[in-house]
Amino acid sequence: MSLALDGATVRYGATEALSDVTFELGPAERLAVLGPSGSGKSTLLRAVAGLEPLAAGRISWESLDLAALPPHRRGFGLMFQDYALFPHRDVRGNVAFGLEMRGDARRAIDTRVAEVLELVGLSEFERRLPSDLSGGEQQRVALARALAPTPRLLMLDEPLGALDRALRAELLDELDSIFTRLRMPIIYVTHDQEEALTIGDRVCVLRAGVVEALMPPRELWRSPPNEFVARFLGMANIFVAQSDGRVVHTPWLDVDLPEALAPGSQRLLLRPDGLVLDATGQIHGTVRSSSFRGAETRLEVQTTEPSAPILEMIVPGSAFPDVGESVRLRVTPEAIVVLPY
Amino acid sequence: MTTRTRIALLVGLSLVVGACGGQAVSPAPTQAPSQTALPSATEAGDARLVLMTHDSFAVSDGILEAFEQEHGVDVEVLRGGDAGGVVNQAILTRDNPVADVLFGVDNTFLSRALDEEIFVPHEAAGLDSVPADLQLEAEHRVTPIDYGDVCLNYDRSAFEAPFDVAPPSALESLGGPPYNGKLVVENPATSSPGLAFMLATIVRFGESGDYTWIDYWRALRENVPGLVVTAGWEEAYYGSFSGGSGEGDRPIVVSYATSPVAEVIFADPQPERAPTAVIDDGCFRQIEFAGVLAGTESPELAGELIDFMLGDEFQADIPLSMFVFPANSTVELPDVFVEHAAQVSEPLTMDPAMIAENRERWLEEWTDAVLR
Amino acid sequence: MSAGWRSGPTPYSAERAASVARSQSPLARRGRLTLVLAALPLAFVALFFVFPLVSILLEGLAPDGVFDLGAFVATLTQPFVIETAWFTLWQAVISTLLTVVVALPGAYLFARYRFRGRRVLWALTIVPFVLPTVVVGAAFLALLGPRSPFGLRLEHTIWAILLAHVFYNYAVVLRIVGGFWAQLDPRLEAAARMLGASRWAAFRHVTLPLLRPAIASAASIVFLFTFTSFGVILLVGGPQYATLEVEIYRQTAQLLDLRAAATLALVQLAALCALLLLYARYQQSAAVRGRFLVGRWQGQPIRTISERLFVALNLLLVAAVLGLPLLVMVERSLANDDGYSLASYASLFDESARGALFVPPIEAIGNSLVFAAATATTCLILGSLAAAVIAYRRDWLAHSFDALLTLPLGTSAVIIGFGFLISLGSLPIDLRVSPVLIPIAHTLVALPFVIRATTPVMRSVDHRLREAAAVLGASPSRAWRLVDLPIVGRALLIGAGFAFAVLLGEFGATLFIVRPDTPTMPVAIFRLLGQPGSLAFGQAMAMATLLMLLTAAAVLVFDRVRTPGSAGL
Repeated sequence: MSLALDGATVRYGATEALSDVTFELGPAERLAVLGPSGSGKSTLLRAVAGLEPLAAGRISWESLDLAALPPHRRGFGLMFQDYALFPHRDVRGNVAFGLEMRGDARRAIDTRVAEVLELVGLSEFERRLPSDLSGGEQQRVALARALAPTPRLLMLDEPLGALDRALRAELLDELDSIFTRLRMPIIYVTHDQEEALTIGDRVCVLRAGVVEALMPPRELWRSPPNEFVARFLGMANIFVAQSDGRVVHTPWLDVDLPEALAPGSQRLLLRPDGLVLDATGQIHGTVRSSSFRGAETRLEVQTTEPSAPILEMIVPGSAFPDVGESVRLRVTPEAIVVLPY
Repeated sequence: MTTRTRIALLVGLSLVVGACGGQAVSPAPTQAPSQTALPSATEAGDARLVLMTHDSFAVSDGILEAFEQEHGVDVEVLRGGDAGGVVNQAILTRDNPVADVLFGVDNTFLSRALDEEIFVPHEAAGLDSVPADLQLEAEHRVTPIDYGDVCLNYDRSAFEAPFDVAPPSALESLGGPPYNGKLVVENPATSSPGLAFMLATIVRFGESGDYTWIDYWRALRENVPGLVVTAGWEEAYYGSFSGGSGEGDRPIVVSYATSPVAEVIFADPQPERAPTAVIDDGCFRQIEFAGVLAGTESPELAGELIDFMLGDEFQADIPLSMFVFPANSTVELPDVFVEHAAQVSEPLTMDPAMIAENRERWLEEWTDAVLR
Repeated sequence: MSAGWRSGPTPYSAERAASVARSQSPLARRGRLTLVLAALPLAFVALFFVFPLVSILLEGLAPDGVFDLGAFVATLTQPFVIETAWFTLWQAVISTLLTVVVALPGAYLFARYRFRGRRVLWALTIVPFVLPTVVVGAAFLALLGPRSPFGLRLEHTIWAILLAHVFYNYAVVLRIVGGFWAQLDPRLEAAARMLGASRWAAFRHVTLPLLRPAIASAASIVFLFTFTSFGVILLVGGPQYATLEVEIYRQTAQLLDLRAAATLALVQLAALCALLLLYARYQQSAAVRGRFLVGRWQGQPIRTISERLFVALNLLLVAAVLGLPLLVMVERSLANDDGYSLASYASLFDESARGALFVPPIEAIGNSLVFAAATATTCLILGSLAAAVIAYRRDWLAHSFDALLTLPLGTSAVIIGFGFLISLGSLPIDLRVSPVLIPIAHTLVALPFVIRATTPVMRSVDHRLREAAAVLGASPSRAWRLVDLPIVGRALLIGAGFAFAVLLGEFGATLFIVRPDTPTMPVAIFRLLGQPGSLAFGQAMAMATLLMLLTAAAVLVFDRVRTPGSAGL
């Protein structure tokens, strides 16, 4: 166990930017913090970094309370959104900064800087100024800078936020492999669920300073704990239905569930991967819209069941029905999840 | 259009704009732009007369207006700083003067001004009312308007019970007990009363013999706390002097013979007796003159103004406006003046030519003896 | 590894980078536009500064048309000249250092923290700058002189001079450095701290290098002011201290030794040029490219104990250095024999027959406002034009231009005043006695402020924003208007507001100019102090307090104007 938060609360005046956040981080665990803007993600990072004082609760490292330790002695690395590179220093000066603060010898610094720049693929860039770098290059310098002093915890605040889509996808993979090599605890903050699901060993979903979910990505996806998380993950098929135990009366059809539910009215989620195009399917409908994304397509289907909500589904590949076409869908019962609230 | 033309146009434009602005703000009537605009144009409409003076010039409302109405002129008052500055400005602009009349040249600058020939003679009407000892200029290039005495003032309360010391009555006594360490003076290099007092000591003690003026100053300076020297009158009076409205701790200061009057008039409520008094020894006479500037376009009108300034109306206003004595002896002084202002019995004077010749050397010697 | 990481760098060279930066500035390759922009300020300075200055110097050094080198050298090498020059230099250096050191924590306070009364306090710090030295001298004497409540006798010492200089110039450093600091991205400091830098180390290694241009800018102005210090030296320092300016005054106004005065003026100018050269060099080397200014200000609230202590100490310092003399003034204006009352204020408005000894305060206030407004407007126009040229061209031409426009600040006001007399009479329109001369003289003095406040901000606007606008169809001027102007406009207004406040209390520059009788508030104060009497003294203090309040109000109004890029100040 490395980092532990226990009831951490941060207040700005009357508002609570972080409310009672509690979790523990393993020694080489990657925690992705996911949430919309204003959810307190950056505040969380700043609190862990020691840049924001806690109004309540405690943050500890290997059981030692960090409250008395100022930011510059915590040994945590923080990669800022928009990078915050020192404009008056060149790349080498930026990357070496943490080592200089530590008082390392010149030669040791040189070696380490070269090492870290090699890691991020910027070996020839030592003499360049930040203002002469592209966005992607700046991001890598920022990462190198944070890594150079070998922090015991690495935090990244929307590291890919300022980049274009293609670059983002590419760099996401690179970051993933770098992190695997580093073997240090990592907190990765983002508003993009794809990044969070890719990077994190666990994903923490924040909303208005409150932890809505904290679980491994697969589990998060498979069973989102509540409606907010489900919608944030982009799942739209949320409805209310009556259940009598094993059977639930969805607006489209009755489904037999593998496990019994409490009887009565339930709020349910049908995951988009729980619908399949099947000529023998029991749901009839017409394609209302389709959004081709390369590897997959999102479809919206208007079912024939009157006053039933529109169904959203994912179809892999490029073979998908056109708008207006009639389709038949089959439901996978395992993809129905109860949403408590 | 080339770049150069553009620039020339821009410069020209800005000049025109500046000039128009000047016209708009200036109180003078608009003048034909083809004239070299000397301010004393006599065109259709009111004529204009410019009086240049220093910052201490003051006259009650209505006085100058009377002159303006009588002669159909607009009198514009220009200020140029302190007395020395104004004289020097007049000297600099001798060939192209900005004014018609200069008021405020005093006896310490007179010789210099006359040497530079900035005045034209004008024999003012009313000179027979002016005492002979004020008329320093035989050729009437300047006319005396007022005079004052620079004297030592002392704080009455410092010399009454419970203190057992009688107020000082002679210059010499300031050099030793019980009056040493009680004096504040102004630097003669930067202050007009300071200069006057220095000249007084030169007249009194002379430059040669057993006890010269330098010896006197050395005596003043000796014995901690010695002498306090300030740059200007305000600082000496308000900052170091303890009497009247002063906030300091020294009971004797170089000021004017009329300062006690001001202490009375400008106090609320007015006291019966002035809180300060004048030492009638070592007073130096300052006389202020006015003159018609050479190069003026309306010498007659300028002369009229000077006559007016020597006339009863203006002269009667002088005491309570500028706190000096009118040169015109027939004018009656206001009661409060008579009661509280000191009439100095034997003021010290020095020939203006002698002042001009030796001034710089004396200042140097003084600085050496007192400040270094 | 994928291709994104492996695309190697293009060959790098510093010169190429610098020339790229230059070519991206809006005035690159647009020599004609530069000329047009610079024309107006240049003409103004040429006509109203260079021309008079050269005239009077020639009059002093070559009265018969021939320059007498021997006499010049003889005057120059007189011991008193060397002594005076030396004193002027070292007291200016120390005053500047002291002011910067004292004001820097204040700048940090205002730049980073949010606290109650911040805006009002910010506006108030300018007040000392405005007060005429006559008044300040009286206040300082009350605090440090014979009747000092602290038992300190500092009058006529160098300490009084230094303190008075700090008092006057605190606002310059505070505003220029503080304003810039507020726009520094606070995350840079946070990044440094995360990398193991203590607060102090973060300041030293990250913040300070970035602040250097602003500090240098402020320091250069403070140095100019203290180098040409006149009133403070005379009043607070006493007779044994004389700067070049004081000596020039003596020579010109008292002795009319124009040769000596001109020689001294040349020494002053030479020192000034040396300073400006150093300054330009320094700015060149300290310039940092890149975006590190943020648009929106986010002040931190004060939370920890040490922060509270810091804020409290700083506010105490400000209160002591700036507030005490002002308080003394106010106290003196209310005091009379029976305690405190508003009698002095009442009597200001009571026009009972006292002749022209004091000026009707309404008139004085009105004149002050009109002149200040007129000058601030001229400054705004000329200043923005000049700042554009200086900020966007970044080359030696721009620096020389900047230096030329700053010269009037450091040139003897006596000399300029006399120069006006000699030179302006030969123009087709005789401006020598026009009231417009006052705003002209004021503009010469206030112009560097507007430029100083604006150029750093103009330089730092990201050229990519402008390019984005261009791509979206905006012509260059439109792009400038829509992108730069909101950001720059704020800085311009700060500069103009500063100038306005300064001009309300301007006195020194016009003291030596022949002017029609249009008294302003400082002149009225000066006249009131010219006579003994507790009533006159009380009135002078009352007028000074009014001036103080007026200035604070004016500045508060100006500071209220907010554009989207405001820094909360």
